[in-house]
Amino acid sequence: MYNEDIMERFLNPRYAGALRGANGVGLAKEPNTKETIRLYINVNEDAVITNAKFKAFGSPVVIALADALSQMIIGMSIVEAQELNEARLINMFEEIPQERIYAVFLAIDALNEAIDDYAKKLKRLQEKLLKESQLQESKQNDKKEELQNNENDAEQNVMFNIDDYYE
Amino acid sequence: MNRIYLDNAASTSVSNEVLNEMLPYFTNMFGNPSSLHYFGRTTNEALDVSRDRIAKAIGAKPNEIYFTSGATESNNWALLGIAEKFQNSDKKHIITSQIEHPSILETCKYLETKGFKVTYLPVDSDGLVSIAELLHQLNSNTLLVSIMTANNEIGTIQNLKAIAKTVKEKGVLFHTDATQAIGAINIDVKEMGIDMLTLSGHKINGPKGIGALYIANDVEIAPLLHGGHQERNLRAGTVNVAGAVGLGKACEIACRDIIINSQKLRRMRDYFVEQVMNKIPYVKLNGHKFQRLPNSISLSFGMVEAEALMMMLDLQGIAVSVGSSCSSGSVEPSHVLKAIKLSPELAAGTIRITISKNITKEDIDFVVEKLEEIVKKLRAISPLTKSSIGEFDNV
Repeated sequence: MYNEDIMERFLNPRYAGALRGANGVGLAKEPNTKETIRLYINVNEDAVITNAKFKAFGSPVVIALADALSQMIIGMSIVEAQELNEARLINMFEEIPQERIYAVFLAIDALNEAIDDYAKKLKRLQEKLLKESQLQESKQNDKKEELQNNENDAEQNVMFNIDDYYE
Repeated sequence: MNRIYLDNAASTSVSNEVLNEMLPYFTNMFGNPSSLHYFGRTTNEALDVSRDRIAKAIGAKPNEIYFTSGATESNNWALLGIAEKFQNSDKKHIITSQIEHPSILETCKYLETKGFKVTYLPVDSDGLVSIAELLHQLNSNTLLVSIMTANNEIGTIQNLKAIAKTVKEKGVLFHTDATQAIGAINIDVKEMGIDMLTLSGHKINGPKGIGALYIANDVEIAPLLHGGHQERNLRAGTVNVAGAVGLGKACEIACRDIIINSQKLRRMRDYFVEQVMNKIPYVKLNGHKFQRLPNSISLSFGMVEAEALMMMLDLQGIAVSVGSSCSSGSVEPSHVLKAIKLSPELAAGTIRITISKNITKEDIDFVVEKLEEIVKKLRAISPLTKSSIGEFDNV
């Protein structure tokens, strides 16, 4: 039997389930046992994790660690979360059996994947926004040019008219 | 809490009949069976009675039964004893199967480091060894074949008679680990052509720390333990007399009650499986559908991890095991489930339920109800999907 901390989180995980509208999702799988953690994070405009949840297929330790990690990262900035290492997660529990230590790496992997996914989505969003703004800019430029042309045309017309007039 | 024990392939309780027979050998009858005085003669006679009972249970002669500390020692002795006896011959080839107990597999690996060549026969998806493949692998250098009678994880019973016949026709020695099979199927070593057979006490309502190795009289074997003349100079060390008495009684009872017990177990086992299949979707039953130990149920629950399931069942008072109990603690998937080519995700979701004759339908209904609840709870937080992990018996 595992210690109380692990059992409590395993039996009553507070952060289990899918997170709707998550803007970062990370999946990590243990190659040997196929234990899997999917971590969902929600990051706001200030790059702070405002919510986190997980789904796990794994031993009690995997479930407990995924739950602890989800709790730990809420309120962290993305930079802080990136710096989170295995040791800090291990320290949350009194004792993780040696043969289950791999679960800590699995949890951190899921976190890094979620951050990567968020970063990719952010990059895509930024690129999209950039493209949109460029598009808008070029559209505006086009419009300006058109206007200018029209003005020029008008001027020319006027000039012509004037010329015409002077003629 | 009402506790329900469903791990009888790991160990069983000592029955009252067995215990009563054993008790005097802890107190009044404590002599060393090697001593020539009254106290020694009394315990030596008890060993003779026990040897008789074990021999009868498997169709052997009493002087072909050697007491050991259990199945692990018996398996080690059978392989190492034969290998040592024939170490100077050309016969350096051993055949076994991929689904043997670690006490066979690890001993074979050890023998590979000593110059032996070992063939690990594959099994089909039901867990059966192919006779054709066995025949194909047998050659003039084959010294010994060791194939278990029935598997401890999935319960599949091998076609033992056909295997033994194939091996004997080639003039090769045949050993079988019958630890899980005593009391479940009839075994007659003479009729089947078995040279050596392993059996254990605590799997058949006998005590722990006692087992036996049947060695046919015409088989030459080197001892494993040295330093005493016990067991006809082949197994040194004072015999665990109370244990041996318990093993003898347990064998006698197992064979006496074999028909009634296996009928009841089979009925309860089938009811259990039927209830699970009716109530829980995405489940696979492992092992041979019919040629299976009457008390054995290996179930794979899709999208659920077995240790999590086992722990939650334990908190409800229900004891089951994850794969083979001997390998739990390691994170390697079970070698047996791998050999029957179960997908790794399904192997990770496999529990073993081994019932005893004392189980009731009410117990089964309670267990299935709890299983249903827990599986639902774990599936709700599982990131796996049913399509990604393999085929099920029910959807």
